[in-house]
Amino acid sequence: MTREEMLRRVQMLDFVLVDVNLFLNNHPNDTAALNFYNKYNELHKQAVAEFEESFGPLTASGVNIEDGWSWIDKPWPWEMEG
Amino acid sequence: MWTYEKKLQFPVNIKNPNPAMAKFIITQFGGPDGELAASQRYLAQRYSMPFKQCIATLSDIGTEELAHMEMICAIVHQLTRNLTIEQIKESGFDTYFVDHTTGLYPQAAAGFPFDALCFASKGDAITDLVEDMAAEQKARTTYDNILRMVDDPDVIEPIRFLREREVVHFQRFGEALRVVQDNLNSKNFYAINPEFDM
Repeated sequence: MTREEMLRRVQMLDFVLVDVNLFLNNHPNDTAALNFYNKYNELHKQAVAEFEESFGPLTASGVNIEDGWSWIDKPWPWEMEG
Repeated sequence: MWTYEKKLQFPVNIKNPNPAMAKFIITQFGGPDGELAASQRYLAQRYSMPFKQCIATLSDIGTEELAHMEMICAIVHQLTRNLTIEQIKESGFDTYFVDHTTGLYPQAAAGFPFDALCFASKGDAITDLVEDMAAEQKARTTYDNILRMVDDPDVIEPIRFLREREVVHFQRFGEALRVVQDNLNSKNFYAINPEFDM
């Protein structure tokens, strides 16, 4: 997968979690939503780890110091070209 | 506290600069119904909110608004990249350019700077959540107005995403309001202010 495809996958899974999180705040005992959240939380973690392995950190704690302090490396999110 | 994630919530990849478009889209950064006001409104309201579902809703939607502010700034930034002075003068972007060059500054479409008066925090659970529901609808209307005026698919896609989130947030604040009302006297919701009297 290209960087863009892998980032898109992280964004989609992240969005699933954001949206279900908001739903769960007002429906904290909804078992189906809890299980759904749990399933996508695992997929999100995997996708983030795979992205960071290939393309560098999404959060500062994702830095692999063997690459040096790669947190400052471009691109920053608003720099993406069309 | 917050941790920065080095990605946008939804991709913004604009190929063609268009400073005339940037001039009105910037209102969703620093205008009265923009994302900066939204984030600060919800994050300010949560401290005195008495019910845990509502505290979580304000915290998480307030946080998502910060991500939306970043998307709007990315859109404005990408619409104002690599401009010539001719393009700046012809597009009417000159009045912004003279004060801020192409830096991001929170202002409304009509040019007045961000004003904290536009984020209400009243310290009353019903008042604040009704305010928040109205705020989401005002932002939705603003996005509808923006969509009437833009023709670039690279801009339309992220703006449509942001518009849709306003509708979802309205729904979630509506549920939070019901949580508050379920905790109050059903014969008179206004007998007390749960943020002060409970």
